Amino acid sequence: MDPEMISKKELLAAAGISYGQLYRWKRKGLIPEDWFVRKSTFTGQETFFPREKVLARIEKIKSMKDEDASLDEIADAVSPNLGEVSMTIEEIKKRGLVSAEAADLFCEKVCDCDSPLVFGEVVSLSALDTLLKTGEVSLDEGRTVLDALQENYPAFEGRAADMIFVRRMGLSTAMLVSSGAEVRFDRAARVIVRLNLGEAAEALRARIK
Amino acid sequence: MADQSRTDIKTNGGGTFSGGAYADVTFNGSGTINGDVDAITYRVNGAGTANGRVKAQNITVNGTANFNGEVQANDLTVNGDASIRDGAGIGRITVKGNLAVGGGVAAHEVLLRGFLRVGGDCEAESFTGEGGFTVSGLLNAGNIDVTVHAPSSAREIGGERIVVRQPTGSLASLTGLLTIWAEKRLTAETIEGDVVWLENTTAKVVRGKTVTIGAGCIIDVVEYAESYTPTGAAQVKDARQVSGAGA
Repeated sequence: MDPEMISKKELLAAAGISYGQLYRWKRKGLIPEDWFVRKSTFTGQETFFPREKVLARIEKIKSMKDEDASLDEIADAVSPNLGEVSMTIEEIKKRGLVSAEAADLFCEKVCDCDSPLVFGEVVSLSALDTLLKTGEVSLDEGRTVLDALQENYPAFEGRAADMIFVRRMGLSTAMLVSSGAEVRFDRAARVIVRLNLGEAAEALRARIK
Repeated sequence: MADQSRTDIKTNGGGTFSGGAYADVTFNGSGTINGDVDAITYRVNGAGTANGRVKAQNITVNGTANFNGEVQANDLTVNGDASIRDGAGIGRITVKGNLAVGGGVAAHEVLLRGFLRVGGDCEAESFTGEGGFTVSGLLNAGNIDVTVHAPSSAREIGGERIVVRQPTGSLASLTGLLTIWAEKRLTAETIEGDVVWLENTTAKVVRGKTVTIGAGCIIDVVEYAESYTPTGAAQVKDARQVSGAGA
């Protein structure tokens, strides 16, 4: 078995928790759905977890519980989707965390430059920055991309989404699709970038911290 | 929520409406809504189809309702037939008729008096009552206490307390005929909980702290941490005590 993974039975023994607790924490969103990996073994289907991530998460849940935090408070603390950052676009620009071009364009289109970014804005900014850094996307196209993100990202309601930027015969367009969705184009079209928005935002947030 | 700007929809014959924010939506004849709906109450006494998402405080289905999208409600009561194409996020679900959900269900409380079919996972703090259910994925609930009257299944069942009963005083328990049991049987691959108490259940693996296997069960493996109580009329191939707080 993959040493990076831990079986459910091992996990419960290692962490000293019960099935009831594990299922309860799953219901409360304390342990993400995609950490439950079902695999076939000689005894039938079994569930495995990414070892380090899940052990660290359970450690955190238990220590917060010791401090009398409610499960909802713990869920807030560990949820990846509450990704506000404590920095304004000016500070982000000053520290060079994104390119100056991306920051200026973002400011022009979006801000409210004086208040810290909220989650949707972190997503937009990180995607814009990534796109501009490819060197294949002009500032004007960057504006289009920002519009597309601002308008359409909320419709995904927290589900994972990818942005695809396509060029064909000198024309370009940006679209958002569900992560993992298969998308095909005619031969003349060229996919400049396909970006997982959640991961891009996560990466930017990590730099900000 | 007494929003003055909201109007009502009420059909007594038939009608087609567009989505939007409404106060009370009532279908007495037949009706269709195209687009997303946000309503305070949504009631189908005849036949109602929603082509879009439906969000309402209370949804009551006495006739036949189709929801071709997601459904969000504080309270959903199905006395007739309802089908939801995508997922459902609902405070309290009462199923007295039939409810089929294509996607997953997240609820606080599921009260079963009829038949519930779930295409994805079903999560609830409490899943209780009598009737039948099929869950294609995981049934995960804090307290599961069901009396099974119809063939039922779930791929996996997990929770704190899991109790599956056969109807008492029924023909099945009186005659002990396996053929009759088979019709009122719960089938699952794995059942995992802290307290597990089963009757008339077929499972490959049952894991728990305290496990009781009652009449009519057919289980391949029982793994228990603290106690295991088999009763006479159960078939258990293998039962073993395992260490650790978990199993």
